[in-house]
Amino acid sequence: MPKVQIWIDEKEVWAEEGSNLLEAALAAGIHIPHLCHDPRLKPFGSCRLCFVEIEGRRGPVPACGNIVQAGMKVTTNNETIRALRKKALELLMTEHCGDCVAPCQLACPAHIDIQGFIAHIANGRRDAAAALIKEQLPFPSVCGRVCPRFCEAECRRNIVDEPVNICALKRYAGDYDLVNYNKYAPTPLPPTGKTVAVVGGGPAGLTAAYYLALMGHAVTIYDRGPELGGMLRYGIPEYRLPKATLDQEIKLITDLCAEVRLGQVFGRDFTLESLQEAYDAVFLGLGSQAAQMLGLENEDTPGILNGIGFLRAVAEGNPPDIGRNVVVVGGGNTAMDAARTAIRLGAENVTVVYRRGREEMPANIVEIEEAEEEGVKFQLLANPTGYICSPDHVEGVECVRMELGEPDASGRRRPIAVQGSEFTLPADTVILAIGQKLQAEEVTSCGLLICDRGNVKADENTGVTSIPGVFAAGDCVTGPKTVVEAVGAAKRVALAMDQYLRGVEITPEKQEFNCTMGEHWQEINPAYFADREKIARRNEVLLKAAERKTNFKEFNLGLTPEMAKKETERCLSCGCQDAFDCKLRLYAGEYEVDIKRLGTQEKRYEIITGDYIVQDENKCILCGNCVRICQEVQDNGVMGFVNRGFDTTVKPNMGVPLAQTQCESCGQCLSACPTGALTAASILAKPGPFKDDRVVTTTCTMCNTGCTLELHIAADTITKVTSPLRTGHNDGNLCNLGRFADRIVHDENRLTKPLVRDGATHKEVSWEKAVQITAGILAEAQKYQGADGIAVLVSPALTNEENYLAQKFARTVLGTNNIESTNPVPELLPVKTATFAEVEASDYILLVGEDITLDFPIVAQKIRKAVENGAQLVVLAEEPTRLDKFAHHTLLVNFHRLPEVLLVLYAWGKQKGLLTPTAQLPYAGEDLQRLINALPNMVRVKADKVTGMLADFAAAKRPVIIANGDSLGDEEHYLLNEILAGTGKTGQGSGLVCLYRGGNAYGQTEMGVHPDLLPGRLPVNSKEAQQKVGYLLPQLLEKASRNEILALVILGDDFILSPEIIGKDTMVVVAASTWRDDLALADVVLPLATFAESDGTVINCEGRLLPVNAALEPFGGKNNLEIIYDLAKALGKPLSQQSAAEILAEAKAAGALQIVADDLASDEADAIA
Amino acid sequence: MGNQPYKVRVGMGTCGIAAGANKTYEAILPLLQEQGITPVKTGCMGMCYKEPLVEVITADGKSYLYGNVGPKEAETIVQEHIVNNKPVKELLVLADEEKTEHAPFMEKQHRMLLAHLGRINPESIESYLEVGGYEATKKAIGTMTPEEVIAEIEASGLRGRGGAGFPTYMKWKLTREAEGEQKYVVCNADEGDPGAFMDRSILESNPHGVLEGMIIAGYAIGATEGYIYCRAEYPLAIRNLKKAIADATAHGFLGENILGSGFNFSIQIREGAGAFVCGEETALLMSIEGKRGMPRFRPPYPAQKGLFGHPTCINNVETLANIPCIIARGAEAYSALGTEKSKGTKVFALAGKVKRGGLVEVPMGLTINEIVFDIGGGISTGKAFKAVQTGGPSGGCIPAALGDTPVDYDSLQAIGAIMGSGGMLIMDEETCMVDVARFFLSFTCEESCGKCTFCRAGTKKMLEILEAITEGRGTESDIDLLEQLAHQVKAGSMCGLGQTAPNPVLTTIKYFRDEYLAHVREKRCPAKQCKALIYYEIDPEKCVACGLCRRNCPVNAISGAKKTPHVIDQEKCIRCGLCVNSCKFDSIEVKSGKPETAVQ
Repeated sequence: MPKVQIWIDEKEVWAEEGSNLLEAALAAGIHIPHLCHDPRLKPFGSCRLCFVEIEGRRGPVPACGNIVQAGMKVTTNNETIRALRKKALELLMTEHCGDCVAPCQLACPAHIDIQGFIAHIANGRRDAAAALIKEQLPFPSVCGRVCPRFCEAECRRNIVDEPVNICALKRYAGDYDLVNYNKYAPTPLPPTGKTVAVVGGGPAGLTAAYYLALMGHAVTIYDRGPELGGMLRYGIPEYRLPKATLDQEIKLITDLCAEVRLGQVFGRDFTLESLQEAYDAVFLGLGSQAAQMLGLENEDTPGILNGIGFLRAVAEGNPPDIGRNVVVVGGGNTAMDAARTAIRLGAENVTVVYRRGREEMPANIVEIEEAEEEGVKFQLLANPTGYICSPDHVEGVECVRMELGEPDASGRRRPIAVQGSEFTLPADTVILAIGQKLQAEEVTSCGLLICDRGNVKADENTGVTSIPGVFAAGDCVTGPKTVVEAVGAAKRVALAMDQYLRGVEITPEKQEFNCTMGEHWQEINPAYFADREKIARRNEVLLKAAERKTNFKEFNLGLTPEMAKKETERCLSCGCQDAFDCKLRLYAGEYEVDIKRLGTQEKRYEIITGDYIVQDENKCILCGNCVRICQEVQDNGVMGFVNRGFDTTVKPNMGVPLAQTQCESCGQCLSACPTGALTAASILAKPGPFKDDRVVTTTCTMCNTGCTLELHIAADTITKVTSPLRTGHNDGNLCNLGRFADRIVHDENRLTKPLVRDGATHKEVSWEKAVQITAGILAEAQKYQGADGIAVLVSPALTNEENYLAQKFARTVLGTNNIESTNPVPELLPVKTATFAEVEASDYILLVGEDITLDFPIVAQKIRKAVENGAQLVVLAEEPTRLDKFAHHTLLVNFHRLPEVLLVLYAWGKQKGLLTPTAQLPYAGEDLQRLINALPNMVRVKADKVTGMLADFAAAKRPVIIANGDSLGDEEHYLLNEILAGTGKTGQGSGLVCLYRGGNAYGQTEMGVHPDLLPGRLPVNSKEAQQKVGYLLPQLLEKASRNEILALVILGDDFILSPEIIGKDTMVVVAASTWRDDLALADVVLPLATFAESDGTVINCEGRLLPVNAALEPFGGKNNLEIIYDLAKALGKPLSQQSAAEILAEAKAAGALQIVADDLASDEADAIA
Repeated sequence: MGNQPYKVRVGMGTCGIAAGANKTYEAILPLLQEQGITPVKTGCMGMCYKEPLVEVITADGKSYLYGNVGPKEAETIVQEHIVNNKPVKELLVLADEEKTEHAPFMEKQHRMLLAHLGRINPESIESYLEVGGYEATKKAIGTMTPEEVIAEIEASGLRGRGGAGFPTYMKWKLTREAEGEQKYVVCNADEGDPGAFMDRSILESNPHGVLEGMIIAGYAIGATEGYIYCRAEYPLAIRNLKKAIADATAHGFLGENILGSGFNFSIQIREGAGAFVCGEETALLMSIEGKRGMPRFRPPYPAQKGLFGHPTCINNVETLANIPCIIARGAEAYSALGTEKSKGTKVFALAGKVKRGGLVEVPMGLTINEIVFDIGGGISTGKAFKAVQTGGPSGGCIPAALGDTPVDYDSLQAIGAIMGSGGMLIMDEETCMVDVARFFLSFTCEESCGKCTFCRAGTKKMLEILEAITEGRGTESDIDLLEQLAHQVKAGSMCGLGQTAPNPVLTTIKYFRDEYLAHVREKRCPAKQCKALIYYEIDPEKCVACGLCRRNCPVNAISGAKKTPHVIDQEKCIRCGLCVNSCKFDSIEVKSGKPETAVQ
């Protein structure tokens, strides 16, 4: 197709005439939003997002429904178009029901990915859980002890029974990492050269310091105290938050900082000006340190203390003498802390006086209850009116009873004194815990503006204050709040400061769009959750009151691993599995969609979780991608639209679950689904979703189609497999094996340790031992039977490099040519391989062998595309195939007669002058004529049709033969090659494609895994090599069964052992990735790395050299090359250790890779080689 | 048997049958047989409001049309008119000899397509041939080249009667010029507008006229196969079509080598399952292909890639029925009728609050007032004429003030309405225009195929807003949102269904904004139709305490002792209106707004 010039948004674009306009724009880097378009599908036009204006056309038109025409002028973004897109998105939201992210995460002031970290714990990755928490909050252990749990208040589990014990799980993850693991310490970004002063070492300051340091800035923390921690250290008693824990978490932060300067008082030791001079930016996390007093007479009498002063003194190890009777005034957490501390200091009567009722107390209920358990008494609805003092000490408090009147500005009912209800409480000590505030004088003096409530005036999202370069967050901005709120604010401000330091405009972090089923669980119809099993909440282990009230030891012992595991099971995983990938969410954010404008839909459909696919129709936006990809690409048509209008929905045929349809679980539908309506069923205990730690592009080795895979990795686990669209020879299409490759890699029976036979069973041994035993077996066999008594079998699923090294090991270390494939294929080099592009562009395809639609569905797609492009298809098969309906002819042949049929076709072609044979035919004269006469009968068609078919084949410009190689033998391969050669068309556009289930079937022969051929197909017994040939597989197995092979080494998962093929004396060593029952017959089992743990290359059916890239560490600790090197070493003949790339280079030098067409040695593979 | 010269026709279209024509026919048959007369079953005569109709034609060809003929009346007619030779004046609707009060119904019409309706037996090809049937086919195939046929259609100025008014010759020309061996003619008989029955009547009463149109179209564009896509809800039309196809084939007008010309053409019927969207041409094609009826992208247009991927010409029933008229009379004679840009006649289904509802055919350019008052006889309820809706749910509401608008494609479009396929709904002052918009939108919303966002979710959202307004929950900003949505649904929808669905909403807001405002601001329905915004009150002056309303009230909301005026409990009242209907003293009033008690 010639390229023509068009203009998109005034940008000159060259695109193929007649090509899709949307694709042309995307290719030119101009993004037009779209949901119902997928390059694999025909334009449909249902989502109405890709509107553009085309000069000369009336109104906006969908880009996906238009084709490129020379000179076209296209506008993709103006006000009309944006308004239309926004409305389309708002309308789509009216039928989209679900939670983008879980409500707990939204409720958390620090926006911790709670669903994610709980899933990590459930999946046994507490370290990953801690790391995930620390992306938002640097001290999970601290916060896991003191957080008031905003998250749990919004937990959807409240609808079912009780909220998930999120806070305890957070502490569990944090403590584990701190104590038992590697103390998660992320690497900061490279130094920016910028310096920051953080004033205040409390929660806000430490958080800002942590994230600023991680962003590469040099941070100096200033604090007035002798140690960091602020309120965490001095306001929260030891029994709630042990200083040791606090110290550990603080250390992880200060390790990242340039300097910590303690004992530095603001205004005394440094000023704002001095900081501004010395640093590029200043963060103020001053807290609310000044205690508020009642303002009654004689308040300065000894024995009258303030709450935080009291707690600080205790924390510093200087507890005041408080006597027997202690009155604590106030109803907040500080009051509870003070009262409980007083109990622990030995006070006999501790009374909390609070002017409102228990319901109104701001302290956490748990705190109040625990205080009560420890003996604290409460005088509620009471208020101090004066002190009874001796000249030098307080002796009591005068109080008055209160009652609640009308609600005040805060919404709480205002307490009013009851006339004549005065009473007194004896007190040796009175502790006032009625609130704190900023010590404002410090800051006003340096020119910072203070807002009405006496706090530092700063933007709540960016922390920007009235002085440029000075930022503030935490209690000094908001007044006294919680740790987690200070953390959330400080993290936001750190991001803004980073922008400031990098010299870019300060913009608050854009809130991601979130669709929700209801802002609060109370708004949600409980019926949606009626099917959820009630599971009792696991609460933390607490010491009994009597045990704890006498000391300051931590009394909350957290969750045990068993309890934590159980508690994770209670998480409902409310957030959408597609949250990180959903295009609808992305666009809704981009177009600032307001879901309140037009409303959202109630949940209408049951969520159906199948073995492979989870269907949540509530999130379906009816783009039809699933329906169409199943029909158009898979030719399966499992799903369809049901009903009309707003009630339209997508359902599997007959409305039954997918599993009951002819669904092949290829997952193509979920790859095309733009939302979370169709997602992959996870094999994990909890599916996440997780953000990718990394994505590794590699090649699927489960057949020799060689599809490109993208392995999405989080916490060393493949969480998802995709294939890139628009690039790659498989066009983003995958089959069940590729799409769900994670199930093979993470099979529950994966072997991680070597096994050695121990009587009837196997026992785990070290690698060293296993290698030693294996070497012993090989040496023994060599001793008794010579090199002939050993054989090495290698799977065609392994890489070129593994295959090459295995043959090198067999030939040079073991000295044998008994090196064979576990699944050998004919060694014949195709006269020419065809690429998939050539298949699609072919005008005549001859398809030979068993139905390929199930085993090689991607190639079947190519064939259907070719037919759609006008190719003739002739199928030669034993039984009807699913491609027959696309075929011009289907010839049914008994496979045992296939060689005959092919031969006769060949001869027939020759006789009619249609084919020009390049080889001698085994039949001639009458024999041939007899066969020719019999042919129509063999293929059950009339003679003239056979001639017509062959004539068309001979006349084809670009004939392609596709063979299901596994169902064909050497002879058929030979004949197919000859038939193609006979057309004389073996140049560009034509060729032979042989499909094998062994992903590197071609590569094996190239690499010399063959008893007769050395790498580069050099015959073993040739003049140059002059070696004795080895045994082919059937002979080899026979020898083994007759005890003539004494040691059999098998590398790969595809060779099933059976007693018949293994002689009594034959020792078998199998390297397998996954345990299976027949491995019981093996003497040694070594853990094999799968393709996801290997680096190297494979050659696919097109003759394309494709890269295999390791995404994970080998499960057994060693990659397959290392295993071979270790064995060679143990046998005393070490091979020089080479990387995969070096091995491939060596193989290439030996003449391997003949089958790889020059233009198909891909860039990535080249990069390796 | 001196009465033999009389011919008798009984209207047996769906409208007639629905009015009881079967019983009339059963009653009249033996009576006429006694007189040696075999009555002829004909299709709809157009005066649906007077069905069942019986026509008596005298030996000298004079016609007497009787209306509302039940079995009893039939007996009278036979006895008086046929036996005693005295026309029954009180039952007479139309008569050649004297001018009845119904005569104006016919006078302003120009019956060309409908000329044979009610005059021929649709089940008999002979009956059609008698009135000159298939002459146009003979003329086109026998004496004209396909290009000449297309040129003739071009000269006639015929525009598609499906609603959009696309020049018919253009479709034919494009299909003829499109590359492809196989081409199709498709007759769109998926008449889906509520209240429209033009196509049904034509198919039922004159099926051969449509077949002729298809045969000529097939000849002109080079097609060999035709499909009639007819909704399954038209069983009589399908039955008559099947018979007509069989008869036409037997007579050599269909099949191989038609009239010895070498031209082959066959016609099949496909029954649609009654999805409104299947009237959209691409959805219709999908449905014929056996797929879900959903529109697809245009281009490629059906003329390029239509049915099964082959060039296809899709014309509406009425358009095709025009073809034989044009060919037979010649383009010049045809184009003499109508206006400059809209030629010929247009058939309308007159319905709603009009005295003489039925099927009418008028030359293009007649004004709305002429149709409503001269032909339709004015408003049936005696109230004031308020508006007319043309084009069904895709059309617009035209206020009475614009009654002088000529009915042609361009004039209607200029005022926000469309010609549509020919539904014409007359409304009086007791019609709530918000409710009308809600009604039509509820139809389109339900009939959306569900494919594209704006049509599927947009109409639903618009409907919800309209419901809120009619239920008194609307706000003034809702009207703005509704208007904005309406414009965006028009601009953003994929096919004609969604692109036109907002028309009733937009035109009612445009012409009757006050009524919308009354609903949202004052929570009042001026037309007193929206139940949530009206209440009933008993006038104590007029009430005689007969207790009838009390007994009729289904929710016991009316109380009152003997001889004391009754009272309605507004809390209990469900506004069903039964009390109003039961009161013989007109003492119960419908009021708009909220009852005063509730206001306090």
